[in-house]
Amino acid sequence: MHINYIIAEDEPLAIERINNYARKLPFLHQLAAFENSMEALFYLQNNKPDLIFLDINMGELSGIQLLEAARPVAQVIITSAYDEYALKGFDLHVTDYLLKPFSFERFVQAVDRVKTNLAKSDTALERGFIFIKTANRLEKVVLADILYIEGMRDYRKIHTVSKKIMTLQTFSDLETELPRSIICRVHKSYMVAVNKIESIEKDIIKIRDVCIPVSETYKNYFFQLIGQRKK
Amino acid sequence: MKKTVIILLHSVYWLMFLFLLLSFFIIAIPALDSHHKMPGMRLFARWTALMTGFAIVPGIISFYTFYFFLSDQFLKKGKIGLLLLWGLGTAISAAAVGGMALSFVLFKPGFMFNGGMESAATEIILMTFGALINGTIGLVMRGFINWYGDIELKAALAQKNHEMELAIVKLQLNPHFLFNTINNIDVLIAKNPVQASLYLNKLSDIMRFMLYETKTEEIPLAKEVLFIEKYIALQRIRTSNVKYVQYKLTGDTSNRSIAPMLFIPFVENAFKHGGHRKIDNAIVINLLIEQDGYTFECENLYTIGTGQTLADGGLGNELIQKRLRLLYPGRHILNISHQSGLYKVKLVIYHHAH
Repeated sequence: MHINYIIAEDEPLAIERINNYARKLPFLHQLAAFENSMEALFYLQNNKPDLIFLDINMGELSGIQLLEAARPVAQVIITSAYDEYALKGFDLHVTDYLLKPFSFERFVQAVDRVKTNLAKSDTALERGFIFIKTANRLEKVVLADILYIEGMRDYRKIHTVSKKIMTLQTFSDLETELPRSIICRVHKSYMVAVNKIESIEKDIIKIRDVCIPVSETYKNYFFQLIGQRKK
Repeated sequence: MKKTVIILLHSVYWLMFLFLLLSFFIIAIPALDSHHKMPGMRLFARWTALMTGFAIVPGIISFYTFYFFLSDQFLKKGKIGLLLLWGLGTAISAAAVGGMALSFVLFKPGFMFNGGMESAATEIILMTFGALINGTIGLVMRGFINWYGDIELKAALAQKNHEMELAIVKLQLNPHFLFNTINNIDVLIAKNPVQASLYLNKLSDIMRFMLYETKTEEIPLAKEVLFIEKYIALQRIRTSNVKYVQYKLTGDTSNRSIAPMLFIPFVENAFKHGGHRKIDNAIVINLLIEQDGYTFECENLYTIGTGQTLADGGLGNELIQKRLRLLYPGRHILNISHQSGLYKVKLVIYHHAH
């Protein structure tokens, strides 16, 4: 298994640290490193790394903006000197959060999580099904049957060709479990099965006469995934 | 103390004084009118006139002379001998005025001497004594009001100092700078141990400065300058662009002093907002030391729209201004401007008021 990563980090020594650690793990491959968050943002529009090391406090452009662009594309490990967002009580829905300075052991732990997450969706893809936790049991869901997933307050409702399943599993949970190429997040409250889409008109996806909006955050990644460039 | 409270205090005192005189009246009725011939109203009017000359006029004169004049002139300055002398003089004069009022305004001329010279002298002595008591009470009241005012002022000052210290403490723990620097040094340890040690020493100097030097009122200017230089050096390892910061010191720092952390908040602020580190001269700092004062200038580029505002200092510009007014009243000029992506601070400190 290969994991291709990029680094978005404005301090050269901090970039060096990640690369030094990564060199000790042969399955990690650096694609690029950016000291400027704008460049990283631009890179993500055309490339799909597996993993991003992101310093959330880089430069003037908020790292949050970069994070939102990165999350649908790849696994994200935040590297930060100061846990500002955790202090403010934000859950950033990232794979891990490394506080600088971090040890090699801690780095390996974070990368292991990435590996597990990537393996999860790979396994699902191989098998063709996953198990979803419902109120009282585990329900087998065949990937090919899924139409779309809808968020409803605390619940996620999985619409398949034959049934509807309610689960407490979060979207970020489902995103790790499901292969991105098949089931894609398009909105804060929606994921869609790409091969079930009937039409797309002005950022509205139609699946079996249900209209699903594509939000600004996921637009780029989604249209890239279906092979359509959109401004 | 509020004006209304002070007025209330005075009113209460004089009402109590009148009440005391009134109670004397009730006790003294039998003596005043041994034959029970005078009607009550006339008796009261006569008593009132008597007391006005005997106690109220000298009392008020003495009280307010002590209150407004003697307190500030002698008591505050610790001239107790002069206070006693002037106090006695005031009381005697007040008694004399009262006596004259009795003799010429309130009653027939020569009223004071109806009972002979001896009785007149006794009355004057009594009046002087009464005036002295009133005066002393005036002095005490003035003293109390002053003391209370001092307490309030001290509390306000202590509050301001406290705010200042708190703000400085907050500044000490700028976690982004601290942990990023620690991280950089940590990487350097493996790469270049000598350099790492150098930077670690700079960091420890900076922390020592923030922990201890900021507690004193004034520090040698050289220390503040050294802090700025070390701080800039540590900021420089955070980027590969050597032209990121431009810093220039003109003049001699030896034997000069300054309040701690006067320039540093602006330097910190500049780095916090200093645009991208790849840009040359994103931060320009100049310190000019002259015979009669210092001129400190700090400029930084910032990204328009990300909002480096005037209220956005590390210490909070409002607090810095308050502090300057406290430390260098009439001896400083602070200009802060921000337009089209350039944030400018200019602080001039004079040694003498202009």
